[in-house]
Parts: sequence; structure tokens; C-alpha cells
Amino acid sequence: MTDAAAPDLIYSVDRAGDPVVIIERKTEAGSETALETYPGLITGEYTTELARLVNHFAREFQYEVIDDPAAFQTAYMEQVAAEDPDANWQQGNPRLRDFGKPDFAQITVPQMDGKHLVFYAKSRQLGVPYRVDVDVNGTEIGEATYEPMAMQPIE
Amino acid sequence: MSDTTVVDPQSVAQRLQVIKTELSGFETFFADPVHASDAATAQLDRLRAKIGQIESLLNARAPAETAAAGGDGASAPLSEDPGICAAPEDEEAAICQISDEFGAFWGQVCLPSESDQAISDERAAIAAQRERIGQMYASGPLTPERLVEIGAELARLGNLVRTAQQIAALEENSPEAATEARQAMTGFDEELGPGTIVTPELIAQFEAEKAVAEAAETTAQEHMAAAEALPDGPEKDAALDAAMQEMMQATVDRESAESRIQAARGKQMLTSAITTGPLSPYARRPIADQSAAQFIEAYTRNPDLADFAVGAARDSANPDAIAAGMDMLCTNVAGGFPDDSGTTPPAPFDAQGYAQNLINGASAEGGDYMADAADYIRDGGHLQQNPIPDGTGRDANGRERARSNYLADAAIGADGTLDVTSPAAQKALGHLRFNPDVVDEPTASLNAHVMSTYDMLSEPDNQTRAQGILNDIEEPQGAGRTLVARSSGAAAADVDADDTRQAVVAALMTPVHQGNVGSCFATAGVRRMSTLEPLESMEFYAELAETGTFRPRNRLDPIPAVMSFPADENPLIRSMEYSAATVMTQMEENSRHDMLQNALNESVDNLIGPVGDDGAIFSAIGTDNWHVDQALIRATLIRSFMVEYDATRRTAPSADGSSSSGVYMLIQTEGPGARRVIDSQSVFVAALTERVLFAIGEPAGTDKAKEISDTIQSQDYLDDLMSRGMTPWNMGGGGMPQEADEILFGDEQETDELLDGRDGWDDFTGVTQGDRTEELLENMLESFHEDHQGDGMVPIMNRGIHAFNGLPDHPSLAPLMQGDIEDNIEAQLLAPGREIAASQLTEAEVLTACRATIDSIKSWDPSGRRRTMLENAIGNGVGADLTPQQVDTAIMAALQPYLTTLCLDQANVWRQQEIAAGRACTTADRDAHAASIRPQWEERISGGSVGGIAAAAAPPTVTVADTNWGDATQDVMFVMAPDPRTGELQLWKQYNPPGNLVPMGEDWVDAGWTEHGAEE
Repeated sequence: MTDAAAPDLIYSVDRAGDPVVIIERKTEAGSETALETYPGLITGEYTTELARLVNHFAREFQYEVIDDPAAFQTAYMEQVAAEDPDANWQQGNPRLRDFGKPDFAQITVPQMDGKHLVFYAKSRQLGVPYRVDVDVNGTEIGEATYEPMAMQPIE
Repeated sequence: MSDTTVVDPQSVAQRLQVIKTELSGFETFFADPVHASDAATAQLDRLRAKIGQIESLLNARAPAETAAAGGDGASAPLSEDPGICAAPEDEEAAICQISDEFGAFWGQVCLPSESDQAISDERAAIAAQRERIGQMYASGPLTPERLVEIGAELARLGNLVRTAQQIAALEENSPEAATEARQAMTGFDEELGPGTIVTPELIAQFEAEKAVAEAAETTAQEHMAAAEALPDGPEKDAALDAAMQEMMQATVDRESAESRIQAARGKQMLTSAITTGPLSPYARRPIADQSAAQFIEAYTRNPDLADFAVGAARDSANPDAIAAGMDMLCTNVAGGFPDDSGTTPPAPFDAQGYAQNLINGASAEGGDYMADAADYIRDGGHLQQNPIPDGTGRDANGRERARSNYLADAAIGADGTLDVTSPAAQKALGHLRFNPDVVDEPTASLNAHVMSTYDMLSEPDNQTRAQGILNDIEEPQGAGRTLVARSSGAAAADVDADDTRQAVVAALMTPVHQGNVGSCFATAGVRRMSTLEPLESMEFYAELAETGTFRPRNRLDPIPAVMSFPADENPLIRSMEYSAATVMTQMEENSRHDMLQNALNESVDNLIGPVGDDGAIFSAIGTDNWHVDQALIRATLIRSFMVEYDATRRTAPSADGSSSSGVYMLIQTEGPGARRVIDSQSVFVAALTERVLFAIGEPAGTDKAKEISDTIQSQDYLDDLMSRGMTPWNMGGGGMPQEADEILFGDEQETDELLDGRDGWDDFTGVTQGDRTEELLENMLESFHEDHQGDGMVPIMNRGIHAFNGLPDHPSLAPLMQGDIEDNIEAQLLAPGREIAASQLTEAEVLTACRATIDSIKSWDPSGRRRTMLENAIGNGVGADLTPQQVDTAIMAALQPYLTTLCLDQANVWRQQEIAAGRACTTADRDAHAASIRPQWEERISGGSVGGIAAAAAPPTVTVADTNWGDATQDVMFVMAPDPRTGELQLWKQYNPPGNLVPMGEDWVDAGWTEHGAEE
């Protein structure tokens, strides 16, 4: 495997429900093996894939990494426009209007600053963006923090 | 009697009636053991026999006399009756003889004064009246006219005696009240004449006299003005003097009439109160002696206010607190509510209305409310008009927000110090509790919470912690800025840290109630925290306000604060509640998703693994790389489905309508069926087949694809899947209060059963609702007693319907938990319930039941036309001396026309909507719709009737839980009390204030009940 090899990863869970990654559709493995297999993940060549890997092992499928901020913004505002502005909050049916909108300009593609990875992820259940901070030291992934972005009301 | 006297039979009959009335008075008097004697009984028997004989004679002769008089009969002579009289003309003499015997009777036995409990003044008045009647009997021949006069005096005497009896009946349990009542009645009679019977006609006569006097005052003023206009001189002086005399006389007459009106109304109202009303010895909820005495004294000074207060006390949990203020209120109403300097509120000021509002305040708050009110009035707080900006003229939520903001402003000093003991904070509290404009639009629940918060913050440790929370607050960010702005009313761009602190303290001052959405599973926890751990709530409020983020305490990820809720609701409380509910739903959805995924994982493993290896049983795929295929399928499936909670769907109907059960649904999120609801087995099979083939890259139509499809469709496969505890197309319902409490309090929760649902494993054949309610109460009490004493609140869930908080320390439960709980329930609730069910309600009680029924229905039916129907149907009662069940039957029968109109009106609205939506809808459709909705409306009306009967029958109640419902004006509790119709135990909701009961639907006790708490 070379540094330039593009990661071929499929994110799944094992029989016990714990997160695993399938490497090149052949090998079921943990995050450390994936990072060892694809050094480009931590050298900055595949930061977005690294974010997906970190996100998967941190929260499995609760969040989706935002890899196209512009597309995210467009989809977000389209969904807002489709929501009834007069509807009440309803349990189990979260609307983006319940939370407002973020400062989309702050949302970037995943970025590594030294050993510190920052990426933005969308909550699959709520649809709102989170900022994720995590240290990746070699093949060791630190504890990721998921903080919702500051929101402004949607008028 | 002369031989030529022609006796008018009508006159004889009238006189006989007088004598019968007289006899009736004697019978009533001597029915009381205090007055009874053998001599009196013998004399009564003899007189009764004589009267009966005369009456029979008159009845027997009437037809013959009518015939003899040619059909006229008005002047026909009575024939001889040897049994009583020697000649017809002696009939009248015979009656007179009986009257004489009555006179003698009075003198002989009617007043056994030594045993009479009447005090000397009372006894003297009776003796004087008796003497007066004796003199009337002795003063000459008893003409018909004189008999009528004597009859009137006898009626007064009877009234004096009855009053003495009524007061004597109070004596045993309420000696102080009895003494006060004697003094009051004596005072009334001094004004009205001894034994005066107050009738509406008499009061109308006094009112007319007052009107005449007022007219005379007006005339005198005109005369005065005319006299003033005269040229100076003797003529003017004389005219002025005459006008002054005229004015003085008119004023005296008016004041005299007013005094008589007050005395008459006081006597009338007090008599009613002590005989059949709340102050009587037969009252279903007795009022303490000292308090009763205070109320009775008030009847002599302000009868209307006293009667209002007694009415409020009857239903209040705090009657003594009301009574304690009656002297102060009567004095102030008479004086116009002056402060220490003598200044009174500027006109127009409704002193009587203000006093009534203070009575309501005391009823709701209890304690030293009236003493504090007196201080407030002396200090002149009541002179300030509308002291709370925007605190009046708004709905309950609006008032609550304005008032809590005002209190927060007052509690936080200019230097940022939170001090509820400061003069400003205390003054603000005074305005909230007592200001005339504020109490005219009361907020009892808010007030109670504020009082509790003031008490809490008066503790130095609590104040220190609260101050620390405030000091840590910085300028708000994100959604926090919006929440603070909505709290303060300022623009979001302008709010700062001070506004944030004010918003946090305002939320701290605000009670938590469930909003108009089905969020009870979170509300119960938020309300419990606000009640038991208010400073923990304050931490949440501060976090929300400053950061715009809600942070679960069980280490789940924070979420952005929910900002979507109706205006005027407290933004921080509502955001906390809805945010917690959002996380709670996420948590449960994830949990169910995990369960589903685990079940699918196992079944998929069985689907694609080789037979006999690794547990596989189907081997539809059987690839060489099967373990990777399994992982690929798992990866696809876990992304392809989500569990979502739909609060609008119900798994079971709820008659109350106050809560939402909600169901979980599986939604496909990826593939050709994205956003499809998996709501049937066939949909699931199709979705799973497509997703499995997609995951392993197998095109549709191949033999392998067909084999996979056939296997997934097979009953064996589906049975295997469902045996793992999951039916994907039916994810189940229910609430998540345990999850909510983990989110709010951080502790993992464990659940215990209180009552198995009717849909559970046990056989409930033949088990009545009363049996189940009794078992529920017993189980709750055992749990409260053994595990939760001192806990304040215990989270309880009525499965699929509602989550709320049990009240293990409620004072009403303590007597049930001393000794054997089952025996206590029988003695304190069930036995009294059976007694009530077997008893008869008096006319006054039936009227109370009807009025309460009307009030209950009016609370949800705004139609003026239909309200008139209600009034006409039962506004004047439905009878007297009826059992509670009979009253219910009579009320429901009388309300059938109202029910028909209500259903038809509703159906007409429905028809208009159908037509507006472009759907054909005939009048026959409308009528069918009206018939279909009739049962539900009838059930609601029946609830009003049963609650109304409970208001009259006053069954014993115990408060078991706080419902979360209500608003700034009232809290709603769950209470247990016997159904007055059957005596069986019933679950009710009670609105406090005013304390009225509404029965809960059967589904509430059909459902299972659980409690939960932190794992140990």
C-alpha cells in the first residue's frame, strides 16, 4: 500500500453492533488497522475520509460528515423553505426551523491542523450541523467532541 | 258565637290552616330531644287528633254544602257534628277552642327553659314573644282577623324557636360559632323585630323604602338649591331650614332602610349558612369553630362579603386563612381601604370586589395571606395602579411572563446581587400577591411557585449558589441570544449579560406546566427538577440562555436549543422542555434502531452464512466471502433505515385528550424507497430484499437474487427475525420518561410496576374499575410509604398515556399510611363513599351540583346560546332528596336537548368544512356525523355532572400526584375519591384553585402504571 493509495473503506458494524470498517471489500477491521493501511489518511491527503473514519468510530451512523458545505447549505435552506413556518414544535418530528440556521460561512471541509482534526457533521436525526474536534496522533484517535453550531432564528 | 252566625267555610278552612301551621311549629320544636317531654307529646297527640277531626269534617261536608248552596257554597252553613260541636255554628267556636288550647299549651309546656340551651337574650326574646301571643289570645274574642294576627305572631315565635334550635345544634361542635350566631341573630331582630321571617318580599319592601328615601334626598337637594336661590331674608332662611329638615329626615330614612336591608340579608344568609350551608352542623366539610365564628360575625357587617367568603371556604383547602381576614376585610370595605395615612384608592375603586379577590387569594395561598395583605394595605401598596408593566389584561401565559420578569428585575439589584429579601423584592412580591389590579387577574400557581422560590433563595447557601450561577453568565451566544430576547422583549442584537441574568431569574420564578403539545414525558422531569432542585433547573436555564445549547446530563451530545414555541411562554423553560424531549426521542429512537439492527444482524447472518456454520440456517447466499458480505449488508442496512417517533399517532385512545401516546416507525432512508414508512410486512420484505441485493452487488432477476428474495419472504425467516424481539413494521409505542430523567438528572433509571394493564398477562375478568383503582392506590401508597418518604415527588407513568409525578409526602396521604393501608382505604375512603352513595342530597345540594355542572361545561363550551340552554335545563336544580345516582340521572336527562344541539352545531361546522374542501356532504351525512360524535360529548357532559355531584356531596379525597397540567392560574392534581354515585373508588383530576373534580376516563385505569427512579 502506498501513501497515495485512495482508501477503499466501507463503514459497518460487527455482529455485536460495534463499529468496524471493511477494507477493500475484503477485510473487516478497526480504526487502527485502517489508519495503518492508509497512511494518507493522517498525512492530510485524505482528510475527508479520515473525518468519516473518526466520525464512524466515534458516533457510528448518528452523524454524516459534511464534505460539501455549499451543497449542505443549499439543501438546508431548501428544507427550511419546505417547512411550515407556522407549525408548532412536535415531539419526534424535528424541523430545522425549531433550531434556526448556522453561520454557513463557518462550515468548511474537514481540516487537519497538525494533529488536530476539525470537521463539520450533520446530525442524521436533527439535520443540524455540528463542529467536531478531535486529535489524531498516529493511529490513535482521541475523544471527539460534537458541539452544535451557534444558531440564529429563521424569520 | 250566636245562633244566627253564618260561618264562611273558606274562612274556617283558613283558620284551620293557621292552626295546622301552629301545630307544625310545635312538632318541629318538640322533635328536638332538648325540648321533648311526655307532656308535650301527649298534648300534641290530642291537638293533632282534634284538628284531624275538624279537617275530616270539612272535607266530608264540602260537596253537600256546595250542592245545598246551589253550586255556590260560599255562605252555606256547616252541619252539625256531634263529635266536636253541638251545632253547625259552633264549628268556629271549636276551632277557637283549639286555638285557646294552643295558648294554654304555650303557657304549660312549650318552653322547658331549664333544659333549653338558648342563652338568656335568646330565651328572653322567645318568652317575650310567647307573652305577647298569650296576651293576644286573652284580649278578647278570637275573630278571624285576630286569628290571622295571632298566626303571624306565632310564625315569628316559631321562627325564634327554630333559630334557637338551629343555633343549639351548632353548640356541640362549634360553641364559639353558636355564641356568635346568637349575638348576630339578636342584632338582626333588634333591627327587624323579633322572629321576623325574611322573605324576598320583605327585602323588596325595604329596597322600595330605600328608593323612596333616596328620591326624598334628591327632592330635598332640589329644595335646598331652590332655597339657596331665594333672596336673602326670612323666607330664604325658612326655606333652607325646611329643606335641611327634609334632607335630614330623608337621610335618616335611607340609612334606616339600608340597615334593615343589611339586617334582613344578613339574617337570611346566615340562617341559610348555619342550617343547610357550609356553617351548619351537617356540612359535609365542617369549618373550624373559631373560623365559623369569624364568618358569622362578618354576616352582621357585610352579609354579601361574608356569604362570598363562606362559599369560597366551603371548597377551599384553606378556610381558616380566609376566616382570619374577615374582620380586616369588613373594616376596610366599610372604610374604603385606607392606608396608614388614611389615603384610599382613587375612584373608581370596587372595594367589595377587591375584598373578594383577596378572599380568593387567601383560599389559594392559605397561611398568613390575610395578615400580609393587611400589612400591604397599611403600607399603601394597594394605592399603586398597575405596578407590574404588562402584568394585566393578558392571557395567563402573558401575565406570567410579565410578572416573572418584573419579579426578576426587582430581585436583582443594580450591582447584580440576587436578594429576595431586599425592599424592592419584597415590594414586588407584595404587588404580586395583593395589588388590586394584579389580584383581579390572579395567577395562583405562579404565586405559589414564587413564594416557594423566595423561601428557597432566602437560605444563604442557596442564595450563594444562585449568585454564583448568575455571576458566571456572560453575553449570550447563538440561540441563547434569541431566547433571552424573547424573555426580555428586547431586540436580539441588544441583549447583554444583564438581560441574560434577568431571563434566568425570571425562569426560576416561573412554574413549569405542560404546554399545548404532547411533551409530558419530558415535562414531568422538568417540573420535578423545578420543584425539588430549582437550582439545578437554574443551571440549565443559564446554559441555554448563555450558549443556546442544551446539554444532557447523561453525556449524550448537546443539541442546539429548540427555539420554536408560542409567544408568551417562558422561552427558557419551554426550550429546556422541548430540547430535553428532542434528546429523549433521539435516545429512544437510537435504542430501538440498535435493537432492530441487532435483530437484523443476527437474521442476516443466518440468511447468508453457510448452513451449519456460525449458526446460519437459511444459506440463501452462501458465498465464499460470506463474513464480508455480512458486514456489507450490515453497513447498508444500518444506513438504510431509521426509527422515528410520531407523537401524533396513538396506540390507544385517550378520552382525556391531554396527552399523546405516540408510536415509533421504521423509515427507509436510502435506496429506491427512501422516506418510505415501513408499515407492513410486505413493504418491509420488499425493502429488505432490495437492500440486501444492493449491499452485495447482486442484480435483481438472477437465480441468487430470487433465492434471497424467496428466503426473506419465507415465514421461517420472518419468524426467526421476530423471535429476536423486533417486528420492523410495528415498532411499538409508549413514552420515554425514564430516558428524559436520565437526560435531566444523569442517573440511569429502573422501573417498577404499580398496576398491570388490562392488556397484560393477568386475567381481569370481573374486575371493576373501582377494584383496579383501589389496587392502584394501595400499591402507590405501599411504594410511597416504604421507598419514597421525604422524596417529594416520584416519577410515574400511565403507560401509553401520560407521565407525571406522584406526591408521596402529600399531607392527605399521611392518614392512609399509618397502620394497615388496605384497612385505612376502606375506613377513610370506601366506607364514606358507600354512605354518600346511599344518602340523599338536599335541594340546596342538588342545586350546588347543577351549578357546578354548568360551570364545568361552560369551561369548554363558549356558546352563549347553548349556555342559556344549560341554565334553562338545570340552572334551578333538578329536585330534592335524591341520591347522587338519581341526581346524575336527572341532570343527564335534562341535558339531552342541550347535547342534541351541541352535536348538531358541531356537525354543522364539520359539514361546512367538508363542503369547503370540495366534498359532497348532505344533511343526512351531517346527522350521521352528529350521531357518531354524540357518545364522546355525552361522556364529557357526564364528567361535568359527576364532578358537579362531587362538589355537592364532598366525598373524601386524597391527592396522589401532580399532573403537570395547568397554567399560571392553577395546578391540576390527580386525586382518588369515591364516585358519589356508586361509592367505588375513582381517579379524578382536581383543578386548584378552585378545587373542582373531573373524573378521568376508564382508559386511565385500564392502562398499566409504573414508577421509576435512579438505579441504586
